[in-house]
Amino acid sequence: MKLILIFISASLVNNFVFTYFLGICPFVGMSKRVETAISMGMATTFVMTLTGGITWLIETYILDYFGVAYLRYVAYIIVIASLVQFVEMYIRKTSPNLYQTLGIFLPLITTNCAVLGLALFAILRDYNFIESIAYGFGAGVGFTIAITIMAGIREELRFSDVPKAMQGPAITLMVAGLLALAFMGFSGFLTI
Amino acid sequence: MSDLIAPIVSMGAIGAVLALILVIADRKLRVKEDQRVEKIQELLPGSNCGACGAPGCRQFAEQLVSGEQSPAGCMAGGPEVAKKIGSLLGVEVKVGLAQKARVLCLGGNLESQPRAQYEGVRDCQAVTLQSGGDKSCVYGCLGYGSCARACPFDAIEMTDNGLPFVDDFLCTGCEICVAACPRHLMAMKTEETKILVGCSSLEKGKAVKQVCARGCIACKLCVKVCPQDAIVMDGNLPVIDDKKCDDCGICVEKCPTDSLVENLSNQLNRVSEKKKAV
Repeated sequence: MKLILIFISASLVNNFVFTYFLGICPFVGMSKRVETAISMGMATTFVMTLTGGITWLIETYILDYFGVAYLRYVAYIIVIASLVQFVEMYIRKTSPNLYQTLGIFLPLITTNCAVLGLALFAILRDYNFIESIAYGFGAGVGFTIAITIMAGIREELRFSDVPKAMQGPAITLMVAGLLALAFMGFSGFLTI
Repeated sequence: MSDLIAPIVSMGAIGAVLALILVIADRKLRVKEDQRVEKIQELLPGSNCGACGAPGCRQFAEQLVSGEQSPAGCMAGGPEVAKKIGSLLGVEVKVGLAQKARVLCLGGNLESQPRAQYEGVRDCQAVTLQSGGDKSCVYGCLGYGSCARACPFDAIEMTDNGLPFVDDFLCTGCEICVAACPRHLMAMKTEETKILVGCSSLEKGKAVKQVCARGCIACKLCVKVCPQDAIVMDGNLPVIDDKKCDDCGICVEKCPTDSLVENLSNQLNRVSEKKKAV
């Protein structure tokens, strides 16, 4: 039961993009088309889920064991960077087109603050191994939901008569703000 | 000293394990690539316009290397790029003249009044769906700029008069706008074409005159005045034989509605000064 709560909390109630404002860079950069947005969301979800598990292992069996918790940030970034590298190789092998579309944003998952944020939050909240993975998966799904909604809106936005001064990033950020407001409707649903 | 050992050992261990995983992954997942693909891709425009038939520049480069395409297939790159690729691959390249997009309509907002007021998606395709659009001429440019948005090189801009203006410097002749125009008014012309017929209406003279001040009224004056006999009528529109035409400009001068223009970038969007035309 707690796992489901953690999952829903991470994906909807405390959505990383809309309530913590983490991962805004790929959120704005990759949300031009629904298709690429979903692929980006999936890649990020994959990285986040693995990150949740592996950082927990590192935290418990290495950092805690040796008493070097102050190296947490460095260790996490190394793990995330390697994971992203691995995902990049995998995508390049299996789907060259997706590799082309994701372009620079694929290696940029490394510096997606949502991924690092997730690892740090999971430790702060004393989650165990399974819970960390659920939290990472939930956060990834939440990111996918956010970026897909945004891409859907932006696809329609192309055909609307936006005032010239607000075209491009301005209207995108306003839409993101309104979406964040809408997601506030979930707040208080559940507390963990 | 012992404070140093723990972090060095732990971080070293993490680093070593991850490095090992990446090395194994690199061995297993490495993609074999022809070196030439990378080089050709650098030469290509990189806009992924798709005019060559491949989904993008990368795929075009791959097809070039495997011999499925010829270097001249890249419309956007033009002769220069084709020659460079040709020398890289050791293939001889025959290239034609560079083609530029041209708009076969001169009736903007000044010349042709709308027959209805349109409120809706600002897009030519969408406008056409609403009983053929708000333009009184059913053959003319709708002016909602679908071509300008489709252009991957930002070479098309909509003028105040509601007609597309093509910047020859930016236009690469990729033909994306040709496909984007629901009224088929965009055409590719090389510099061999000296005079453009700036009207696509198939209607008879009177019907054209009612809806547009610059439409061709099929008066056949151009056919008569041409000293080279290069112009013939095809239905209600003149057709100019590029091979016979010597660019004397008499037809442009004589055309009563000013619907013939010189095929020069600065002439295409000029507002007519002829009395009858406006």
